[in-house]
Amino acid sequence: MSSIATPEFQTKEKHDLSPPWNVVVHNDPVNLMSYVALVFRRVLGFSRTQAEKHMMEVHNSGRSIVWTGEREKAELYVQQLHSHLLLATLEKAPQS
Amino acid sequence: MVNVRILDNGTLSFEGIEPPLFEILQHITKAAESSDPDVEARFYPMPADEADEVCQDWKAYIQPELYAEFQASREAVDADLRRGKKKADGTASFVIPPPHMDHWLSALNQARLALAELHHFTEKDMGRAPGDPDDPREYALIQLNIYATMQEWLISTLD
Repeated sequence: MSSIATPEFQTKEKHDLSPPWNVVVHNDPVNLMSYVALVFRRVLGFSRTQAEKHMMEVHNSGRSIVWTGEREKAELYVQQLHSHLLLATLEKAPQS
Repeated sequence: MVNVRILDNGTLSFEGIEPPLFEILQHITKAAESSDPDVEARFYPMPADEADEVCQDWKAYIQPELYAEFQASREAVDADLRRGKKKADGTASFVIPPPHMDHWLSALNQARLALAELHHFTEKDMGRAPGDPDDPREYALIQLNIYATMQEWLISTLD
């Protein structure tokens, strides 16, 4: 008689999903600087000045944290940035 | 010389396009459609470290949505170009209606990214003048530059 396997449940620790999460945009040599700034304004609601500051940070430093907050919203921003073909990732922000 | 006008309803009208340039524009969708693994990886990057469980959901739910969005943009651009007209002198004309502007931005970006991946263009390549157009890699660089010029122009118009 076969025994019934005990199902294993994995419970995700609440703190894994808890804020803050960073949305990071990474540099790529193909996307135009003007296009990246336009996408920042449209997706993240940045002013022209903010958009250009983050675009230059991506260009010069290779990456820029463009938003920090709860995980669900961060995922949505990453999806929207991917739909504009920007290289964006989620990163857990260091706890202060 | 290409004559570009913004009509009263916001439609962009392009006239007097020489055949070689129109041919390059007609190749936007072809350039953007690639099943090359490097291109696929660039179009559908993971949002986090592969170990993160979000990546599985991303592949299952987000990537098909992105695929449909990218395809819709290519189809809109293709339709605008197919509606284009050729004059007796060989030049062509076409229009971009306002709802298609973003589709053009997307399709041009897709084409540029795909060409760059397929031909392994570096930043240095993209800053140099293209060589012999009979060389496929140099022709791709011409395409890349023309699509960038058009993209810049559309962005300045949308601004």
